[in-house]
Amino acid sequence: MRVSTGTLHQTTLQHLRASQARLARLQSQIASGRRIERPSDDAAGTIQGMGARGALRARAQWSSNLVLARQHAQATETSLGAAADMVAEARLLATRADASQSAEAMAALARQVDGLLAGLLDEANRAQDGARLFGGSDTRGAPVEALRDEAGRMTGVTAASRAPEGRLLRQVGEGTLLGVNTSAEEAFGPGLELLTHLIALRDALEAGDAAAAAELQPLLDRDLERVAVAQAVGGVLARRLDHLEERLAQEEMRLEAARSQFEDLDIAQAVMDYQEEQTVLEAALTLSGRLLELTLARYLQ
Amino acid sequence: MPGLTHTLDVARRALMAQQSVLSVIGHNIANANTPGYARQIAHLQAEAPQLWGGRQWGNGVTLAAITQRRTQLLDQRLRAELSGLGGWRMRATVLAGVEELLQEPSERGLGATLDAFFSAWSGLSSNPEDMALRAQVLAQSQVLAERFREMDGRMERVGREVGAQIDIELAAFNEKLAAIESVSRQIAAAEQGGGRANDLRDRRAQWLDELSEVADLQWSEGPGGAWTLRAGGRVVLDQSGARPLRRSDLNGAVSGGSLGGLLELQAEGLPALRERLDLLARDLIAQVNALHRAGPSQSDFFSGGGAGDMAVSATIAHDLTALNVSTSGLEGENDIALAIGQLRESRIIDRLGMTPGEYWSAFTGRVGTLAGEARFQAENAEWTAAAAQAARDAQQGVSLDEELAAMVSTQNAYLAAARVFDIASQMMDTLLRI
Repeated sequence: MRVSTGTLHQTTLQHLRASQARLARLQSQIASGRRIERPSDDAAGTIQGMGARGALRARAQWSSNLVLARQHAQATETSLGAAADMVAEARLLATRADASQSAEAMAALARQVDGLLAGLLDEANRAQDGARLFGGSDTRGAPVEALRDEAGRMTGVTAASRAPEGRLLRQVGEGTLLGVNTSAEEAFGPGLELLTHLIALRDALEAGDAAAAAELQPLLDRDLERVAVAQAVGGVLARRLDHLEERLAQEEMRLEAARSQFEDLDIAQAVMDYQEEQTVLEAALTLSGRLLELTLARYLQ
Repeated sequence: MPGLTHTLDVARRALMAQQSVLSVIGHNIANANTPGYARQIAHLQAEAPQLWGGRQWGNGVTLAAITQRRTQLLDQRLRAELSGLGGWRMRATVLAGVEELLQEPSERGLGATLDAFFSAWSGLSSNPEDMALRAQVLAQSQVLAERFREMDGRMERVGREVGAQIDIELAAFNEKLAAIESVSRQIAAAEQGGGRANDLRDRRAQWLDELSEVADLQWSEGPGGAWTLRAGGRVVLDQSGARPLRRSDLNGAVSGGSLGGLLELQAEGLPALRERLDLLARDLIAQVNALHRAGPSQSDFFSGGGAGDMAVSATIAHDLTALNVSTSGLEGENDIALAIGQLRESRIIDRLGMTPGEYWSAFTGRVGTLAGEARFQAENAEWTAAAAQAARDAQQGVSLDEELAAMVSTQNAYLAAARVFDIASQMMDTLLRI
């Protein structure tokens, strides 16, 4: 076959160009550390990598939601703990009231109960970052309003929330919505009876009616039990949040590994490929130089 | 028997013939690197003999013709490959530009902006009372709308650039067409007196090669030098003259070459990609607005009907309280924010077929596939065009070694003829001294 001088040059140049292009691509990949620098490098891998990126971003947001949900749950738990302590103390004060107590002693007990009542009202209206904990999905206004007489004594309570049964739903996973709040009714009973029981206890103590105070003790036991149940439900929520957090962390690790597998470069392999390609190019340059020098013109005098 | 004068005449013809051969060799060497040049061959033949004394006496050598080895089949094969190369190379260039504007896969692309939009709503749903988070939703939504508009604008600009490039290619095509017409007429004039206008034919062939990269061409040359050049079946040049292509002639007339590639991108490729982007924006606007309208302000969240004019509605942009977080409007409720945040996982795009993220990934993958295919085909076409060029050059290209070998052979023949001339001349001197 005839080989023209132009073909010899063109073929040599084309191979050198191809080798240089491969080297340039490897160099760029090594510099960026990425196997896929543009979608056309691997369209299927790009789709998979982008899917993993999207899933990672979603999980980052759900993790953030989970942190807020945990803060809400912890605040509720703290508030319920304080309420339980106060109810337990009120129950203890109720047991101290008996007919042998003087009127002053009974009045002192009544004042203590009144103080606990004020504390419980505070807890019922407790807010976390401006959002009421026990107001259902109406988080702005106080969920419990106290009715007072002219002297400022609390004579009753009324539920003021516009959505007392509303659930505060938070997204903490793919399709996973969690209700993070405890309603006032779940914590303080129907019609906020825990507070009305304490008002009744205070009134009984003020009146020196030890029998009425004694009758309230089983009701306070039930109130205490209800608060404990609400605390237990909060504990379940906390464990669920822990479990979800762990799952999100595992998913993030898996997704990051998948993203890296699709998009990132195997640096060791790429460096070896680069060295191999460099060797090939050097050999091609050397041989091309020699080949192109081989011409009859060099030997003709 | 012929005399010494005859011998001198034979030697003179030999010297002239070898000198002609050397001239052709020199021409070949001079054009060894000239694109499109076809090696020329000087054909020598023995002069017609003379009858003397009942014998045929040779009259030496003469230059019969200077020919080229050019095969139409190889020309056509190369031009077909060049046409494919021109088309794929142009597609690869334009689609690489489209790929660039996507900025994927990364944290700078539309995929990340879409996720930031949904995350902002999801974040608001976790803390619906927080006005700062509403402002964050507004800001992310404005960024998303701006990103859609910017991307749509850039794709439109790519379309305009393709249109401008079509005009440039068309002008270059018509300019070269006029040049081919001119050189064809020169060839016809030069060959009227016999012989072949090799160098003019080379020039025309080279221009046809170059034109093939712009459009798919069919060149035919009939008996008597009648030529016809077709582009996509349409006659653009014949004996009656050139018929330059106009913009209005192009649709369907040109399918190959860079012009064909550009026309295909302008008619189908780019509008289809832009329409897909628009579909994502349209469906997203519709779904978000449908959810948002259920709230107290009853207003749309986004204005605009697609990627090109998408924006956050002026009502919300100027008054954050018009941003609906819940249907009731109670500050702790979050059903609308939650639902919009959950659109991230909902199959709401393209007739409820894909989630926004999946759709965008598929879109990016499609651009990648198209760009990768164009790049792959362009690289392949470079190799096949080079192979076709090598096949043609194997027949018509200049080999310097071959020419140098022929030059040495010619030089030897010239030296020998000169020696014959010298001896005959000495014999003539001897004779004259008697």
